[in-house]
Amino acid sequence: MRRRLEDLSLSQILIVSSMDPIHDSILFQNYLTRSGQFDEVFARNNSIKPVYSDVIGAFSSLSPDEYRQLNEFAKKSFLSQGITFATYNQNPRGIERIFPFDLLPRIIHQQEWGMIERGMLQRAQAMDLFLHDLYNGKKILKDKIIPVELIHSSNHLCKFMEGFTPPGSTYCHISGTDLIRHADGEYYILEDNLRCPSGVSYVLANREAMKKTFSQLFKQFNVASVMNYPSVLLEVLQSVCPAGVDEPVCVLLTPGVYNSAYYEHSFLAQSMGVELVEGRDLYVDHDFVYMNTVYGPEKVDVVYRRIDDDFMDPLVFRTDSVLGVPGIMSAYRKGNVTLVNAPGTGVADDKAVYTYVPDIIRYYLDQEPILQNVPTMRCGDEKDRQYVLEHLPELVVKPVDQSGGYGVFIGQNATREELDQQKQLILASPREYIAQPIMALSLHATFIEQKNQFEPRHIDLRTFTLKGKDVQYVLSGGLSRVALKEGSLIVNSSQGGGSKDTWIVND
Amino acid sequence: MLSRVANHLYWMGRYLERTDHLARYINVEYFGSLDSPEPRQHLIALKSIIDMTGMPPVEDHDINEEEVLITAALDDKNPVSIISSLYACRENARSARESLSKELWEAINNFYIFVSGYPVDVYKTRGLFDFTTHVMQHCANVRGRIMFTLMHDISWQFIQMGLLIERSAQIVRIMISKLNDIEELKKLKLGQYMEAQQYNILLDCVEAKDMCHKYYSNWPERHATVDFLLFNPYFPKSVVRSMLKLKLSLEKIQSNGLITQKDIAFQVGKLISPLEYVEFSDIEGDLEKFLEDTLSKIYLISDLIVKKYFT
Repeated sequence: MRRRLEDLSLSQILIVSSMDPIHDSILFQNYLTRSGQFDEVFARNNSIKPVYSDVIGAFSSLSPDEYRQLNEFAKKSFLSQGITFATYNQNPRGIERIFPFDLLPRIIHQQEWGMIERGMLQRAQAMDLFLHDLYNGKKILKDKIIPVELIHSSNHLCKFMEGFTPPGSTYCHISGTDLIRHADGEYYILEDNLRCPSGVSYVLANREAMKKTFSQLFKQFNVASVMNYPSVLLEVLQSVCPAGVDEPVCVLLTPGVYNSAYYEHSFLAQSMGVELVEGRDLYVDHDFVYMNTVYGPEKVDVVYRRIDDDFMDPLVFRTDSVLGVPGIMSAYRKGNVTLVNAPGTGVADDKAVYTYVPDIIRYYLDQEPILQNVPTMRCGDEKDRQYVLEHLPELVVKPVDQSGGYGVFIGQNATREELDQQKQLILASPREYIAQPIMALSLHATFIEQKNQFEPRHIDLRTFTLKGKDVQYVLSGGLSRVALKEGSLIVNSSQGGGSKDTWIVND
Repeated sequence: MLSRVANHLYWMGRYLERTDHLARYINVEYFGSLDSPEPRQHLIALKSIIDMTGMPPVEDHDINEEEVLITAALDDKNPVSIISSLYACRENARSARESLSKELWEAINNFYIFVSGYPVDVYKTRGLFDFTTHVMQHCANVRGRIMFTLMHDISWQFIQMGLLIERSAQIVRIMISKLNDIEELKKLKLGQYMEAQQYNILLDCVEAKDMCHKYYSNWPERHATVDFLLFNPYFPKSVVRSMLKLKLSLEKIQSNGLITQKDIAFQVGKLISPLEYVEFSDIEGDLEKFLEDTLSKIYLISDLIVKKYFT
C-alpha cells in the first residue's frame, strides 16, 4: 500500500511522486530513503540520480510478476552453471544454494571510478614497497613510522621471507580491497585483503547473468567490460615467472572441491587455460616443483595458490597440513618457482597495520593517499584503548586477523552483558582488536523477494587489483555486496549477504 | 594432463554410463513384466532389478515393489542407486571442471538438478516411466556434449574409456542377469513366445532390439541375442566393438604412437582378442562361464588403466 506523505516523518522522504512515471511502479512505490544516510540511487530531493535514470525507468516499467520471472531466470542460470555453495547440516551431500543476486545494478560513473582506480594502484604499489622493506632492511620500522612491536606481534609475519625478494619485487599480485561510501558521500577503504582474496568469479558471473536477463537495457549503456580479468591475471602470473623460463607453466592450487571458493578456482583455471591442481598433484624434487601427469612429471614454474600460508608447506608451516606441498617453500627461496601471492603478505592486511597505510603511502611514495581510510583506533595503543572502552556502544570492534565478517562486534546493537564481554576480550588481548566509528554504509535499492518490492539495503564494494612485473590493472567495478537483512551492515556472503553487478559507465 | 584429473574424467564416464543402464534396466524390466500373464514374472523382474543394481538379495516374500523401485532410483543412502551414481558422476566432473566445456558441465549439472529435485511421491505413484525416460534422455544429451563440445584429445580419451569399460561391463552383467531370469522362467513352462519376449527385453535393455531384428530378420532367440550383443562388428554397443574402441583410445594416449609388448594397449589387445575370433558355437556349452570370464577381463583392463595412469 502506498504511504501518504503526511504519514511520514520529516526525515523520511517519499521518493516517488504522483507526477513521476515511477510512481506508478509497484516495485518502487514504497521506497523510502533514510535520513542521514547516503542513497546511491535516489537523491534527497526525491529525484533519481542522473546516472541511474534510464535503468530505474526500465525497471519501473516492469510489473512485479514480470520482474519475478526475470529474477527466476537469473537464479536458474546460476544454478545451471553450478555457481552455488553447499551447506552440509541437513544432508551429507550438501544442500546447494545460490548466492543471492540482485538484478538492479550498482552504477558508478567513469569519472568517479577513475579516482578509485588511481587510489587502488597507489595503494598496491605502496604495499609492495612496504612488504619488501619489512622483509629486507626494515627501514620503516627504524624510522619509527610503524611501531616495531606491532609488526613483531602480527600472526602473519613470515620469517621465511626474511632477506628474500620475489620476482619483479611483487608480493601482492592480487589484492581485494573493500570500499564503502559513508553518509558524507565519500568513499573510504574499509580493509585490504592481500592473502587470497575471493569473489572475482561472481563479478564475471553477475555480468553474464545481467547481459542475458536485460540484454536490451544493457546494450544502451557503455559499460566497462570485466571479461578481460582472467587474461590479465595470466599475464601477471607469466610476468613473475622464475628467471630463465621462457614459456612458464602456471597452475592454480586449490584446497579441493569442498572449498567454498572451488567454483572460482575452477572458473579461473579454465578461463586462463591452466591446470587446476591440488597439493597431492604436486611434489618437489631437488628444489623444483613438478606435477603428476599421465605422461609423468611436468615442471611447474608459477603457482597461483588459493591456500593460506599456514597450509602451503608442512615442512615449514603447519606440519599437519595435507593441502600443501612438502618442500615448496625451499623451491621458492631458491627461485625455482613463484608463489602468487607471496607468502607473508598477511602482515600488511592485518587490521592494526591497516591504520598505518596512509603513513605507508606517504613514506614510500611521497604522495598523499588518494583514498581515505576509515578512522580507526588501535586497541593496542593505550590512549585509543581507553577511548574505545569508554565509547564502545558507538563503535564497531573487529579482530585484526579475521575476515568474512567473523568476530565483528557492533556496539549499538549490543546488550550490557555483550558490551562487558567485549571489554574483557579487548583487555585480555588489546593488540588483537581495532575499533572504528559505525560507518553508515551507503544504501542501494534492492529487490526484496518476500515483499515483492525494492527497498534500501546497505552495500559495499570489493575491488580487485592485479600487479605483476610491468603489469597493473584494476577490474572495472568489482563486486558490490549487499546486506539483505534490513538495517544490517554485514555484507559478507557467509553471513547472508548478496551481490549486484557493478557498472562503470561512460557518457 | 594431471593424473588426478584423468582419473576423475574416467570415473565421470563410468558413472554416467552406469546411470543410463540403471534407468533403462528399471524401465524396461518393470514395464516389460507388467502385462505378463504369469504374475511371478513381475516378481522375477523386481528380483532382477535388485540383482542388477547390486542391492543386497531379498527373499521373495520380503520384496516390496515400492521400496525396490525407490531404493534403486532415488535413495541417496543406497550407493548404487541412480541418484548416487549420478552424484558420483557430477562430483567427478566438478573435480575436473576446468577440463570440461561449459556446455558439458551444465548438461551434467542440470541432469543432477533434475534427478535430485524429482519428487519421490510423483515417482512412486505415476512418475516411474517419466523419470527413467528423462534420465535416459539426459544421459544421451550429456553424451552428445562429450562427443561434440570437447576436443577429442587425451582428456576425451579418458572419458571415452570410462564410458566403454562401464558399457561393456553393464552389458555383460545384464546378459548374465537376464539369461538367469530366462532359465527361471523356463521352469514355469510358459512356452516359446514368453522366452522370445525375454530376449526382446534383454535387447531393449541395451537399446539393441530394432537393430538385432533388422540384422537377423527374425524374432530374436538365444543364439542371435548373444551373438549380437557380444560379437556384432557393426553394433556400437556390442562388447567387442567397445573393447576395440577402448584399445584404440589407449593407442592414442600412447605418446609416441608405437605399441610395444610392455604397453597397456598390447596387454589389452591380448585380453580382448578372443572376443574377435570366437563364435557363438564355441561358447554355447558354457555361456555363463564365458560371460563371467569376460566380465573379469573387463575389470582387469580397468585395473590396468588405473594402475598405469592414475597412480
